[in-house]
Amino acid sequence: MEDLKVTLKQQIIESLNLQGMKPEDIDDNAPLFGDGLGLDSIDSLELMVLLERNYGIKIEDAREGRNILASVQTMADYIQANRKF
Amino acid sequence: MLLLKPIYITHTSAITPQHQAEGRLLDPLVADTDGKLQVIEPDYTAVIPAMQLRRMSRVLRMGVYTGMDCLRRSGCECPDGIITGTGKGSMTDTEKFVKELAQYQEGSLNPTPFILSTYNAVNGAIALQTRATGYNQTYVHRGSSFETALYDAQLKLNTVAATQHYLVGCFDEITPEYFLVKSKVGYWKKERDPGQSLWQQADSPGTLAGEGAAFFMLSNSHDGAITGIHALQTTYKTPVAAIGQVATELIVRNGWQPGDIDMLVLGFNGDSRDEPYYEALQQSIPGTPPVLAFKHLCGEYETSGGFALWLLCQLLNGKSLPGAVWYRAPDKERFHPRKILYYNHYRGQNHNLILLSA
Repeated sequence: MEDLKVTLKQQIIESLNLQGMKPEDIDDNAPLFGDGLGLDSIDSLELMVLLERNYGIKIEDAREGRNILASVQTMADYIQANRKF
Repeated sequence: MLLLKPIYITHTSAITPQHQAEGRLLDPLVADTDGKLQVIEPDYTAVIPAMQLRRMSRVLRMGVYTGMDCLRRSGCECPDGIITGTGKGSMTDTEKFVKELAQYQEGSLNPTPFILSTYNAVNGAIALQTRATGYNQTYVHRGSSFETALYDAQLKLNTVAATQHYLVGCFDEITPEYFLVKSKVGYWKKERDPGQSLWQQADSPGTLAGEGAAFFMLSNSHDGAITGIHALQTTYKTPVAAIGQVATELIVRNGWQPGDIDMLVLGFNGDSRDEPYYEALQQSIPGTPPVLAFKHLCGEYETSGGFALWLLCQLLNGKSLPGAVWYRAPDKERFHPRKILYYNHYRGQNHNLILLSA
């Protein structure tokens, strides 16, 4: 799980081009949107593409997506339970 | 035909392949590298918020930075309108988006390159930053994109009695793919003598690839004007034999005479297919007025006219230009042109003429 979270953080940094940021700068439980990392709605679409390309996970329901993309921890939990590859 | 009132340039900003300080072109001039003149990029973080910057590709950064810098120089926080011209928009984002379409077989695609590959992305970003909710337009008219944006600004500023200020600009970039594809169809000069100026090598086809961004604050008020734009005309596929007549008619329609023109700004690019148009235009103007060239400094691209206008504004603002800028230098060291004709064409298809006064 810890390895998955580090990999996921690296993928988020690359996908969203968070320049100057390292995996250790992102708190597992900090909100990705709003007050935490400060991501926005376009970033949420990018994260959905990230999940599909890297883990074969397709999020169809926007409400469900909001909960899945809440933090690195919620994303990692969902990936571990639902990943296709 | 209705004669429009002139509009005035009050402030400028540009990102160019040449070194500059406070808007002044610096000697020595930068030569091309392998047939390309690529811009010297500034520190974008000084002007563009980090959260916006991370999404922007190179040409978007160039455009937004230059537009915001032009606003900063003018002291105008929110323009009445934003109009731009671009020949290609963000090629980097377009190429990325198209490649991913193929790579992922039209499956889920990253939204950012798609959103930012749209031509009006620069206008949108500037409008968001300045909270400008007024007129906002982008022209993609290949080699007349910038001049069409200027013409639209003149039309818009002629419709209001109150003083208004429009931010007008242009931006285009070279990407490796674009350079490669266009080299296959003979756009770029194959063999060149770096010791000779570009226009002295017009006995063979091809030119230098270029890129840049330039923005201008335009107003219908004469206050603080660097130059006035009196008339603009764009034409399509005008033959060499007709270009002089087109220019003469524009000059006369504006109430001037060809002999009044005391300076030319011409887009000589060293391509044997393109140079005859400039030679023909010169023949239509009596005497031998000084000629400012610019494509040896910025290369050939659809909106190179933005660089030309920026360069002209530096001259009219009293800044000295390096001697190598001139195709035909003025006799006097302190040269103050009063009536200027700009002519630039893109591959013999898009022809652009502007009458300016100082």
